Amino acid sequence: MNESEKTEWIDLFLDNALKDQEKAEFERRLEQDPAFRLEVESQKAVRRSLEAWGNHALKEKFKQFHERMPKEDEKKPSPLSETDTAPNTKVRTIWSRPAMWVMAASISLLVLAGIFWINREAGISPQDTTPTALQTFQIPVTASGGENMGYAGDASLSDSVVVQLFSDPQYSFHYRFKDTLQIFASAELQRHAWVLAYDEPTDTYVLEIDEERYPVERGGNRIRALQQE
Amino acid sequence: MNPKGQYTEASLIAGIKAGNEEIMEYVYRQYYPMVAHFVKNNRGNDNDAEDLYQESLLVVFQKIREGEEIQYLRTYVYSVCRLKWLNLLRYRRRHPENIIDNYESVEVCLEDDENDTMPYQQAMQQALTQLDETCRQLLLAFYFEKLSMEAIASRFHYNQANTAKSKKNKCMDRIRQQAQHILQTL
Repeated sequence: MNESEKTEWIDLFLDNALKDQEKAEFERRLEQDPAFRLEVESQKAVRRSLEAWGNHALKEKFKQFHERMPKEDEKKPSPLSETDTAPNTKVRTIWSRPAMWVMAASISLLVLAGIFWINREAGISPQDTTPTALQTFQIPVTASGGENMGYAGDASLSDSVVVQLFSDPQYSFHYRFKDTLQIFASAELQRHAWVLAYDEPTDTYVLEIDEERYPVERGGNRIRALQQE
Repeated sequence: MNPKGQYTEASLIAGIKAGNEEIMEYVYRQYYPMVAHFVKNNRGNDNDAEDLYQESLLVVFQKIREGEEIQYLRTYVYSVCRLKWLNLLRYRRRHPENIIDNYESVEVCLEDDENDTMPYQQAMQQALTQLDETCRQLLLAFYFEKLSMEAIASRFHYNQANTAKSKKNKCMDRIRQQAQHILQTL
């Protein structure tokens, strides 16, 4: 175990994740080396205090949630019923009118955009969800710069790329571009005229959606946010 | 969301695990009524319900972050709340002289083994406060939120997961030294 890995090793031990032999070696060192024993106890104490800090902060958040909660009459649902995440009957009558859906959809898109903008600042981990695949289609890739420069405004259609649309409540408007361009969005996207513009000299891509331009990076596994140029 | 416009329990659990605040708030609102109903039908008032619910959700969220397999979130939340409330009622019956309105202080009494082994709790929290903000956030993201190194690198705008890992380790080295001082001076 070298210095730089010490923290990892201690974590593994404290998580009970060491293999039998590694664990035996670790415990032997604990017995023989009081300075090391102190280090392990210290890391344990730090981990505990981080847990306490995190829980305290989370509890404060819960108090805010509680305050924001609308005070309505408490329902009396069976705790074992799965269908109880549905709206109550009063709300259902209102939602049978189509006009309400249109209004609600546009309002919630705005609200979602706002909330997800805030969430992006707070950090979203993309690791643990399986988004729902919606559509797969192809869009043209226009290449510019390089040989085509001479022709006034003319970009030659040299290629096309496969786009996959995914629905995922975690991402407001994100992408991952490896072999295919995967778009992750929480709200339904309209496919008007999507074009991927490729600039040869700089080897960069820009996704053009109507008049809006979103630079995208090709390669890597990370899901990144789509931001206008 | 499913066609009815509701979240599936699986996506709620995934959202909680990822630290998605919108989903956390949705969950909070979704399950509070059934817990409040239970508490108030069992010798509790509004304050009891709120305190119990929040303490229980802390436990539930922790289990989720630790990767516990939860099949039915609603039932799980209810079970945790129910167990905690019944324990508290039993405690109140046995120690009527100790009726405390603040649930948190009761919680501390119930888990007194925790207290005995951590007399340095206050000093540690102080040390955490004094740590620089980025370090603290890094450590919380790794040890509390249990995010992956990739997710951490993304949040803190590091190019590589390895950068995040070495910075996290440096931060832990720093605060571990302080913890050593605290433990040695006991």
